[in-house]
Amino acid sequence: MSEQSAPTRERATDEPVVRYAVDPRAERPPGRGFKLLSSGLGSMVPVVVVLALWQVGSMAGLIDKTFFPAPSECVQALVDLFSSGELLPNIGITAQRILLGFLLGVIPATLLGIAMGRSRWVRVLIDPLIAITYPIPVVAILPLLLVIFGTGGRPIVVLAGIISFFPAVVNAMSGVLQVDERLILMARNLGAGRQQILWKIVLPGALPSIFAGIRLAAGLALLGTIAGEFLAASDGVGSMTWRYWQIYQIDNMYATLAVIAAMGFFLTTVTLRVQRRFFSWTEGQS
Amino acid sequence: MRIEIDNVAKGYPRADGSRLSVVGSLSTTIEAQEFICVIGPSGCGKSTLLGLLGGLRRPDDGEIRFVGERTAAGPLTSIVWQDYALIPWRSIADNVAFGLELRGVPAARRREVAREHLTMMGIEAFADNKPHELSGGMRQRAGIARALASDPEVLLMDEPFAAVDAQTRTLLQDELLQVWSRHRKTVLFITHSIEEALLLADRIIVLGPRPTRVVEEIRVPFPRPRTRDVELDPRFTELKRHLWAQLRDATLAAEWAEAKGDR
Repeated sequence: MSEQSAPTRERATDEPVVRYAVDPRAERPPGRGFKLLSSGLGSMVPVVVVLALWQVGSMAGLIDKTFFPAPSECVQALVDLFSSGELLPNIGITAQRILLGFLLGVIPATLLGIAMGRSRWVRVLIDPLIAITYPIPVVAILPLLLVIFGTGGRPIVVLAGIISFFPAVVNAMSGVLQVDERLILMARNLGAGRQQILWKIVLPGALPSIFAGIRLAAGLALLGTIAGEFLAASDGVGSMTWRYWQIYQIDNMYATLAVIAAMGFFLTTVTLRVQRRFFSWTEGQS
Repeated sequence: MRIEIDNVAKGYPRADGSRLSVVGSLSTTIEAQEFICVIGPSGCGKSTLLGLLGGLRRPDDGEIRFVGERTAAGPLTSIVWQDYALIPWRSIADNVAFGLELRGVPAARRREVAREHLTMMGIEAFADNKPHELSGGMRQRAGIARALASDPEVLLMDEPFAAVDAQTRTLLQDELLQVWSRHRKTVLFITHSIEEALLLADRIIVLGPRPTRVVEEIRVPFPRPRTRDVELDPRFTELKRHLWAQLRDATLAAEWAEAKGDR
């Protein structure tokens, strides 16, 4: 280009022209409102709005209070349940069942998944068993668990364990199978033995997938525990929810549901933090 | 160490049960401290040969012998990979020290050797970065540093500069020449580029189409230390023309074979 911009060439007036010119709308940066809503605290705004509408609708009689008591009443119920000393021990019981069930499922599942990924023989023997049992809705075998383990906490823990077993085993196996073959060749060329390849290449390489399975398993352990408590327990938060539904104390039912939701939120957030902290390298490739 | 490749053959089973012969009765000798470039039409089994030399595959027939006293502390061979093969969750320094770690060198010594080789390749500033944070050229510098830090008898390079852009490639070739003049390790360097082979090699081995055998071995006459100026030498043009004539027919034949589905 010359230093001075050349004058536009003379053009016959009837010559057709397609113009690509400045589009002021496309260049506009996101406005303040958008930025506020997409920030961490701002993302609470829609939640607060829904709760506020619920509250107003309930007070104005627009929403049937028997099914949807106002949020303020639910909060009051929650406070009462805490102060009466009923809620905390039950939260402890449920948390313990989730944790035990989670460990019962995830530890053997991860070990088995790794073995399946590493050994064709283990894979060919175990894969059909998983393929048959995976589609069974695990809650359906609760009666069987009750027969085997009696009533109380044990069948619930086992139920949570079985539910969390599957995603953990499948993810561990596929994580091991998807480890970059070139890295294994590279290590072998530099003299790595089988054990070294397992510990230095395969396991670290499979870890993000293993952890993704563990995250899913944590959520499912919660699900299994609550479902088990609904149907087969006299204690725990899930059984409280079920009982308050049966005796029609809907505000108490909502309060316990909020507790369950908070437990789920806690699990998701904690595991996501861990994932972001340790597996940032998965965002790029070698 | 001298490498004697003695009537080596290697093939793979095809889906229909027959066997695809990739390397067919290949023989040559590589002397210690020689810089060998291997060129040949694509798909001719250059990488299979490299896998055989790297101990990743065993030949179907014949044998490969490494003859002579060990002079290096590390493995027989280290491969520099075309696509780098850096471990994505490790820092560059830990990648470079990987070979040392495998044979139990203490951590302090590993760090020292890694730093030395990172400095040699001019990437010491990226010691603590992860591979995905680096450009292709920087990653391959790390790949070369890792191969050299592991201290092999023979350096095997599998089209190491094929994945980087042309300018970076030029830089990396110059750097390799400099580094090699200090180490004088035996190098077997596979490439598609005739110019690259003429610039780098003491001797060029030309391979034929599958099943590949040695078609010709050419001694490259330019004295060392070498610079890019060898391209101005009339013999450079002469050799380039000669090598292209050798490759042209084989490349065409390979393309036809591939189009007919003979993979």
